[in-house]
Amino acid sequence: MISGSRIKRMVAKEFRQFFRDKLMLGLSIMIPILQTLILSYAVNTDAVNVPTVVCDMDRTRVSRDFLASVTSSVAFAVIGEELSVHDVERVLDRGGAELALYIPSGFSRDLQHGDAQVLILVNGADSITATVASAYLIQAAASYDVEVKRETILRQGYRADALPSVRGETRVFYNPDLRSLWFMGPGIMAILLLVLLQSFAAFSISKEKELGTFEQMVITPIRPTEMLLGKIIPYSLIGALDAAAIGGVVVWVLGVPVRGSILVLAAAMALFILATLGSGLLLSAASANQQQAQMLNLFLAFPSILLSGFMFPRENLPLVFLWISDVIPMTYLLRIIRGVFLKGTGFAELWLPNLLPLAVLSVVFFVLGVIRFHKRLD
Amino acid sequence: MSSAEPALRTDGLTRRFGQTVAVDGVSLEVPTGDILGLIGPDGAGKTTFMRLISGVLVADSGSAIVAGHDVTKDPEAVKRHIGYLPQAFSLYADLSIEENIDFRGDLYLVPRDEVEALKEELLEMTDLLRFRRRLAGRLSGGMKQKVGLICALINRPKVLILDEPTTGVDPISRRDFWRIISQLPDQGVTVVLSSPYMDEAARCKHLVMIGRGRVLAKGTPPELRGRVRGRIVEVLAADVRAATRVLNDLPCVRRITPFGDALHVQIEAGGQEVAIARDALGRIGIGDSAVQEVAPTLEDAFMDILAQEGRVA
Repeated sequence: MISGSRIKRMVAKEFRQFFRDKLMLGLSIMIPILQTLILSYAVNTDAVNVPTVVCDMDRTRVSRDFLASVTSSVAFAVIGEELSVHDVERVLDRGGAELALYIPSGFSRDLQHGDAQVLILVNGADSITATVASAYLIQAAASYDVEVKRETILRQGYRADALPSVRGETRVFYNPDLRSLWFMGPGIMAILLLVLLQSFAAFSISKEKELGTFEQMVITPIRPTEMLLGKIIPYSLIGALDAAAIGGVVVWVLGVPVRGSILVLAAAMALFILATLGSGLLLSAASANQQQAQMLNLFLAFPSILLSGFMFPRENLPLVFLWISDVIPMTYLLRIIRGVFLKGTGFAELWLPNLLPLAVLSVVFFVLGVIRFHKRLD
Repeated sequence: MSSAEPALRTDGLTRRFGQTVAVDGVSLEVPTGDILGLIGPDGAGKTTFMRLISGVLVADSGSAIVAGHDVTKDPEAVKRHIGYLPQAFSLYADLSIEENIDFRGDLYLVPRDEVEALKEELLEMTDLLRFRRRLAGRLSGGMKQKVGLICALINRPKVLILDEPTTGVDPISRRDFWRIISQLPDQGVTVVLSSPYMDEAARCKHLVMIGRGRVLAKGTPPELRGRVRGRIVEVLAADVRAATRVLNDLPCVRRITPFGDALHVQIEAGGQEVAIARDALGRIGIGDSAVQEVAPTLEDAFMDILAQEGRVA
């Protein structure tokens, strides 16, 4: 027979300890809010003001015109002009610039013959910036190419509307400016919740084991279920509060729109909290002290960060990792969160592909955690 | 034994850890209101035995009836009726003395007003009343153990199990401790405790000596003292090493044990042998006044029983 009053007292004790530890209390409020802000702004894959050097060996009106046109985008900040390809390399080596545009002598002459080349040097050590920035640069060069051809043809007496042309129009759905902030913000909400909650759950038990207070409970007639609920109830509540706080920051500070149903979001979060507390319990069952719990917490958080589609597209994952990704609750939560925030997806679209698997996984993790939780010492 | 059901009865209680048999077929009967002391060297199996009868650890075989319940069948029922102060006991450092006691009461579902009354009384007896709001993390070792004892008593247990409760505890706290323990039998509470201190063992009504998981001897403290073979001679020597050397050469000397600043020399029975020892000591300048036959102490009994066991094994 489970005693409600014993659970109530246990919850009260957990909260008392939680609120007494001012550092933990402060951290559990400040970490989610600060981290959301920092991560959202820091994890930014947009290329803006990439430090760029140029080297114009042609020094003609045409080459200057090309340079000005290509580097006018906000993606680049021209920070210097070098006099030889050798100097350019040195600047890249030093880390003074991420990108260099080298125009060989004879550029304008080659252009007339339809065979001009420029060299783009990229710091591949920072591959994300390099990829994005060099793509911008190539695109800029291509549109200069089209413009030059067009002018030449027009000069030869063709009418502009007689020129054949194909233009690809891009319309980006849901996040028209492709702001990585919009993309990252909601995801960070899920990641933070995972790391925080999993460690709360794991630590609250492994700490008792390490300090010996666990033994004090084992010797009393408290039932394992009561002990578990006594741990889970307070941390679910704290998790829900943290989720709300992070959500607030994402919406009101970062300005990410919420286009879908808050209710679906809340349901998904609740399921996720269950799954996370379950894995926290598993983790505490597997560790004898707080240090082990800490290492396991990190270890278990990595797949959720790397394989869930939070940072890298799932489509690029090798098959084995894709399978792992399929059993990570985070994978489904992320789709739901991004769906609700940006796409305005509703329950009908999310139910079968995402909410149901999340629910199943949550129950599985939670049950596993409960099964592995023993009220014993050996 | 009284006609009433004993507070604790074990029958062939056994528990292994891998290859080691920590508790090896222990059968004991402890009457209600007894104070039973478990003595024995480190690693003898005292702690494992206490964990087994507390329902914290599951026995491999054998049975134990504690406070009227079979611990192998219903450990939770046993837990309700006992108080257990483990050796590695610890309090919640971030809760006060009072909060720790209250929480312990909550775990047993003791009504708050009962907890309140008992807590007041026990805090008073242990001289802790004025520290009631102090965080447990800022208590001395002795205070912590006293709070631990109060926690173990908060459910008014029928059997109180204390695993080396006073190890590392200052003499004054130890006195407070015993003030409570010694009045428990009058309330019908049975106490089972282990202690490395022989002066503490002497205060128990019965003693059980355990070695390598088995019961080596049991009886009242005087009974155990009476088991010592031969006689004990106490030697006060300035040069302990010289005295030891001389005594070791005598065939009648069974064992020499340092005892405070004296030596306890166990000698094969007979007044003759004692005289031989006196002579030998006299030759190195240790006069008759420094050599005195004494009644065996529990420590002597402890050493002698262990030695007998060693010969058997």
